[in-house]
Amino acid sequence: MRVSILDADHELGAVGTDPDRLVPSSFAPMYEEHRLSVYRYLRARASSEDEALDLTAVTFERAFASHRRFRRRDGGVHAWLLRIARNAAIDASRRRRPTIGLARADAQLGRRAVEVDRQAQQSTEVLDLVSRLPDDQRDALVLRYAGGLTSREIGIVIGKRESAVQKQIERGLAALREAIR
Amino acid sequence: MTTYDDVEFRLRQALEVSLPKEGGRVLDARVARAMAHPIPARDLRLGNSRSPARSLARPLALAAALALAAGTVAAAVTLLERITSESTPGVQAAWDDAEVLALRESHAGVTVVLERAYADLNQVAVFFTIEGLEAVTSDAGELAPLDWTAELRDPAGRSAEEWAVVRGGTEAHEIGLSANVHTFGGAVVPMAGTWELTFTSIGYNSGQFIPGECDEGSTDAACTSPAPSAMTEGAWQFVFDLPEPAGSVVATDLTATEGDVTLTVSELRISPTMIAASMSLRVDDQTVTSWGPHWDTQLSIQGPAGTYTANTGSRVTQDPIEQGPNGYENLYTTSEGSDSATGTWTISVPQLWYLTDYGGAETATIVSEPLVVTADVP
Repeated sequence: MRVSILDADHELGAVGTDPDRLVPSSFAPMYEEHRLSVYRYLRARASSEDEALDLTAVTFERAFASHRRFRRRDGGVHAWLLRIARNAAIDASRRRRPTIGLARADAQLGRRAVEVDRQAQQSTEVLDLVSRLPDDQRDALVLRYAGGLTSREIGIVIGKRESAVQKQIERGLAALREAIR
Repeated sequence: MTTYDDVEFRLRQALEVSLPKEGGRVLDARVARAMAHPIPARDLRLGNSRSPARSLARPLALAAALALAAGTVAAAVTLLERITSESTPGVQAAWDDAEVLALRESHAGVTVVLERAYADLNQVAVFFTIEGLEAVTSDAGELAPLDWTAELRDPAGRSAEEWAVVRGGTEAHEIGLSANVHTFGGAVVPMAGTWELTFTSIGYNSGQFIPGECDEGSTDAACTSPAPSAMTEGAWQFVFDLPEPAGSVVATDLTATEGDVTLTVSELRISPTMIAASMSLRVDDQTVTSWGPHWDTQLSIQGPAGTYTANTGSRVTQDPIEQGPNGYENLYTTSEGSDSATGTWTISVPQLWYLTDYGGAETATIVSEPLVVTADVP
């Protein structure tokens, strides 16, 4: 499905001329371009597919509502959206109750399956291992490999220096390599 | 030997998931609506115990959502009717069959109107609006989130906190008006009689919600100068009668066995807004500490009038050591109900996983064979 584009007289206000700002007419292409990477990032962090979809919607709702706060020099649209997504995921984890997404929540507890009959199980195993990593490493890996961010962009999202992010990624990969071997 | 590249490849493979087809369509519709009618910052909240999350589990009425995006929905449609029309078939059925109450309580300038209430054998739904609140803004001009606290008591005097293991709902806000649908469901069957819904706090920025945008050290004005707390304390109390709840409780105690694994469907509750299956899993000589349908499959319930997907699961067994003879019990519910229970009902679990050895090194096992239970309801 294609999302309809807004007209210039939309209630969000007149389209600005500052190239550093987001304008409402850019919302639809922005959504088209980034929705999958935002969803993938949130799918790796959420307790269920439904929660990931909900958080993806919340991410774009928040982005549209606060577009005036965006500054391109702060890392670009992609990093900005994933920062909003990360914050939404943090909010959700603070409020998460045990009754929703039972199957997936338990699947993410981090236990290894002893009976493997599907290729998908291999992916689940990797995600289980990722979920056991320290928060900083897990965050950096998911932003890199699900969100597609560079180390610099990840640094902007999580508030760390690029070099520190690179270290977290390397440590995370090393831990995974050790666990999988 | 696993190489560095192998790890990266496997990680990419695991994380590069596709958007689910139906979920993607619902997401598109919701985002399209947000583009056409941007939600004020104060409403962009995730759910908590007082304010349920907007869930995409419910099948949105896509056409209605797109119509909203195009701004073609008649203005006469009330906010409550609008959010109900976008909710699950179960909530829509509850709205249609609910008792029309229109009870109004005002306190300190804040008016709560309990428009309708509904109960069947699976859940209770309340439909209410809140009026009279003036939005509170921070120094940065950010609108504070609307918040409220309420308690529902059943005719036996029990708080919903005690029995409602399945909670849901949706909400929408306009300036000066908030519309809410809140559902309470669980293993305790709703009953006829006098119910009580009491709001004790309504307002903005209760102080218990810390927006994720406000990380430690943030210099954002919305974080450094947040909106002041503006909660109005009081008692907006509604006492109302609900009739005998519709639906059927079918005690099945039917089992399906695969090797040393036994699945028991102990009860099926079929009502106009939901179908709930109480299901337990037992494994010979082991203690099951958790279980569920495999994450790539869905638990389905096929009845005389159609097939329903159980999209919510709740743990009934809270302590694995205290589970009953049938094993670890979960409650699975659908977002759509059936007016009639008569006929053949088939509950299918294509694959399932379970954990064992509580307190030790837990082990996950996947049962790849389908477990199917059939019940005939006269």
